Amino acid sequence: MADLFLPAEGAFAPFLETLSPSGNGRLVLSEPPARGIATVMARAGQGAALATRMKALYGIDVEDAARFVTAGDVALVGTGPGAWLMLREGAAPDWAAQPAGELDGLASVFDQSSGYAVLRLGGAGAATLLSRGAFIDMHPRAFPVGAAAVTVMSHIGAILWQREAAVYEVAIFRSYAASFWHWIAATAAANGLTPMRSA
Amino acid sequence: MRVKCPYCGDRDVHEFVYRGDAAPVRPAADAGEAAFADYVYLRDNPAGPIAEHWYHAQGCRNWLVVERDTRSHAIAAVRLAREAAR
Ligand SMILES: [Zn+2]
Repeated sequence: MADLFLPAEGAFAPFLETLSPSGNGRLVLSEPPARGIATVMARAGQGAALATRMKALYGIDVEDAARFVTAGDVALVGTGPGAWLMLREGAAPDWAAQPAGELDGLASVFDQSSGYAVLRLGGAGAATLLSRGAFIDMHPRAFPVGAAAVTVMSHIGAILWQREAAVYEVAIFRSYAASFWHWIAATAAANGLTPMRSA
Repeated sequence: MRVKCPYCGDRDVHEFVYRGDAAPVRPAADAGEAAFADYVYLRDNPAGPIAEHWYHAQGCRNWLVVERDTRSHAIAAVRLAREAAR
């Protein structure tokens, strides 16, 4: 009997399929390549030791701040004092056991890979769209590349960050994907933006 | 109204949950009913500065100590409760 293998399916895939791959490029939506997601929470008093360990293991400069930092296939999004969302590109479904073991005693690591849906928003209109939902200043001077925020958009808890110039990612709880997409579509239309999907 | 969270920065008040006066300190377990009744129920009602607990529920999920003037809602300082407790 053949092994049963269920490929990872992005929560936004059915919605992105409805978009055209061509357009004016002011709002380009996509799902990032499959990645592992986990929460990392420093144990009391272990913040400095954790940063040293993660630097040695992953080559990443840990910042205890609302920042997005990346090194190789690992990224960290600050979500609170001593707390991060850890992202790992192309990770296997059981990937989180590895950092949980490597950081044992310094941090608690819990897999969230199937809990969050991540949408990538690019183009000159992306910041405009996000500013209609998040009650924070999305101007590049206030929210530059590398900035991150935990906030709420359209009553949906959201973690967002600017990973490179005019390229944002928003992580929401996966079961809210349809509601969040509804907000995206309505808000884009109200602001004269026609979303396209990346080809 | 905006509250400047030490971690998240300037945020709209709707992201927060208000708890109240940060001054009461839980009495010792053997302090007696009168002390606990005061701790649970009795509050000052100052016209002026007060330190209060606020929870950043839709942000960093941390308890904050906010120093607010009840006459103007002007906020003088915001600290993480975990640091204020030290
Ligand atoms: Zn906060």
